[in-house]
Amino acid sequence: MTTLLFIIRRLIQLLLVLTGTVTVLFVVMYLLVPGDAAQVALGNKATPEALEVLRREWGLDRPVITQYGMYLWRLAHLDLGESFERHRSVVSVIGDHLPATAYLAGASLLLEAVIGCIWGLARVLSRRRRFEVISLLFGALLMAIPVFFLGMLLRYLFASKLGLLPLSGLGDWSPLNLVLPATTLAAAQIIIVSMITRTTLSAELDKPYMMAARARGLSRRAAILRHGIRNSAGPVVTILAIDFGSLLGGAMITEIVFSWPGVGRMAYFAAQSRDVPLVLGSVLVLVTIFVVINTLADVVHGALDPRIRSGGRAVG
Amino acid sequence: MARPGIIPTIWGGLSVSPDAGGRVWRGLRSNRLLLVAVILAMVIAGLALIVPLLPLQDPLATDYDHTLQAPGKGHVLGTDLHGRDVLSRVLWASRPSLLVGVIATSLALLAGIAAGGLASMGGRFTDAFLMRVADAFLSFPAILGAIAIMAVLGPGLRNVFFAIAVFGWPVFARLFRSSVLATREMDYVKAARVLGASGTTVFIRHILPNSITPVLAYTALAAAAAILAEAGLSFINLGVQRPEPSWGLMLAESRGLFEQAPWMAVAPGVAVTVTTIIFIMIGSAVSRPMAPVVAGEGRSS
Repeated sequence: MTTLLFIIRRLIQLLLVLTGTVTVLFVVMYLLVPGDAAQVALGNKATPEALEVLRREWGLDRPVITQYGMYLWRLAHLDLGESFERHRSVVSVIGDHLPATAYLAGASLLLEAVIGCIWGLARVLSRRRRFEVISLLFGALLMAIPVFFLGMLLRYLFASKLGLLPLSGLGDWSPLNLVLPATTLAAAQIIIVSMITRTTLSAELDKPYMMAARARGLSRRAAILRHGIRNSAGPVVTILAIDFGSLLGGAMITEIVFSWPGVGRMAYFAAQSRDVPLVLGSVLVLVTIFVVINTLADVVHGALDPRIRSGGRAVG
Repeated sequence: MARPGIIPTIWGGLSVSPDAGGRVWRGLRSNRLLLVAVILAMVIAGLALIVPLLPLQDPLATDYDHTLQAPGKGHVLGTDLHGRDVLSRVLWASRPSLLVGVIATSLALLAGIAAGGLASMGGRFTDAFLMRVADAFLSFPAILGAIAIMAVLGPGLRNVFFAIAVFGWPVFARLFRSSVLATREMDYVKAARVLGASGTTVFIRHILPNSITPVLAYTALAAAAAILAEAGLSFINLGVQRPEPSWGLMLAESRGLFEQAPWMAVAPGVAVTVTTIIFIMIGSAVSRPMAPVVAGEGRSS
């Protein structure tokens, strides 16, 4: 398959997922508040006249298909509607909270990239069985511990007991406030990055160029550091790029535990107060970011590595 | 909570080998870690089964004279904000957790086998269509999707099964499809066909039994992901509802009380972590992650 065909295929898939998401969200909105988004928005005390006006304004008196069309039209103009509770546009509310989430996700990504790669490299360099067994057990622990439990433990240890770091919140965007939430969010991903690094590096070890390097007299360690790393960077970079998207979406619980004013926590509170447009808008924005980054990572990796193109998707 | 998608992405890298069944058995005998994990899993499952018979206090009985009591006499793991016995609640909470592990995974497994089987044995178009749909689901952030589903359907255990299975089936479908495609090329399958067996007979008698093992091997990891997902959904009030006990819910109830009553968080936290680790250990030992599966590989020629 040529590069272009591969890119087109991925873009079609991207469109498929986004159209599916948008449609499902519309159906949900339609079913959740059947014909009466106006009622929900204005509350029980609204006069029939006011309801009628709002219904006509929102097109709720039209057929479903027309409503769907209007919905798409508004989406195309980046109009996600108005929050029931805050009486502000959903886009602006999300815009207020997105920087905090991106800040958290970015720091987590950095953390998982650095620690995960070093850990994976160490696992390949050290050939001691004991180190590998300990890595696997510790990795299983990192994967198994729920984010909210880890968050509570870290908070207790480093904030309450030792008083080293702030307990919660964003503060004035100081990196100190970032340490605990970012560590919590990154923990489960670190082991994944370490696994991918280890798997791809080990696969490189058996390649002819590696044997040639060894035959030239390079030690195993030198051959890995000088040639292996560069050649196995592709999958690792891809997985990191994909992870950034999932960190954005997966940050919700971490944000709740650490009272971090991000999109996830905001959507959680919106869900509690049944602010439907705000919840669905947040889901749509996070999903879009996730899927777009995912596609970009695949396309870039695919353009660089022909094996991926013929195979379809990147690792994972 | 780890996203449900996490474990599938890394541990899902199964090598498709028709010999997985034999490997399980050999692994059990040679791998002491796996043996220990299987025994522990049986202990936990056994506990969950016999909880009603144990001499425990009522997990729902409140006692406002003895709230936030430290572990000690009368309450081995202390009491919570409502004076309920933490030990009893942790043990009772193993039931919804394991139930989600079993039911959500089974639903995903059945749907995955149906879709994967259809994709591998149906026509080219069916295959392409089903695999694109699976890809679409795989490229959707699972935890957000589960949260959205729960927000729409409303909280409750039955909806948790569904929300988790919706994002679990594509991995099973992909695994089963590639396993069937590999098995179909085996000599004994060709031989059966040459001998005149019909397509259905060949599939049921020869292909299915030999291609299902790698799929089954993945169920332990899927169950681990499901248990974590349930804990997470319950933590944000979308899963098991108060006052029923659930590990995620108990952790939610302990928020802000960690310094006063750490046992309230530690007991359920350790329970869910240990249970998940056991399933991850079983799953990874059984299915030995090898080269990452490159999804979407073409039909073997």
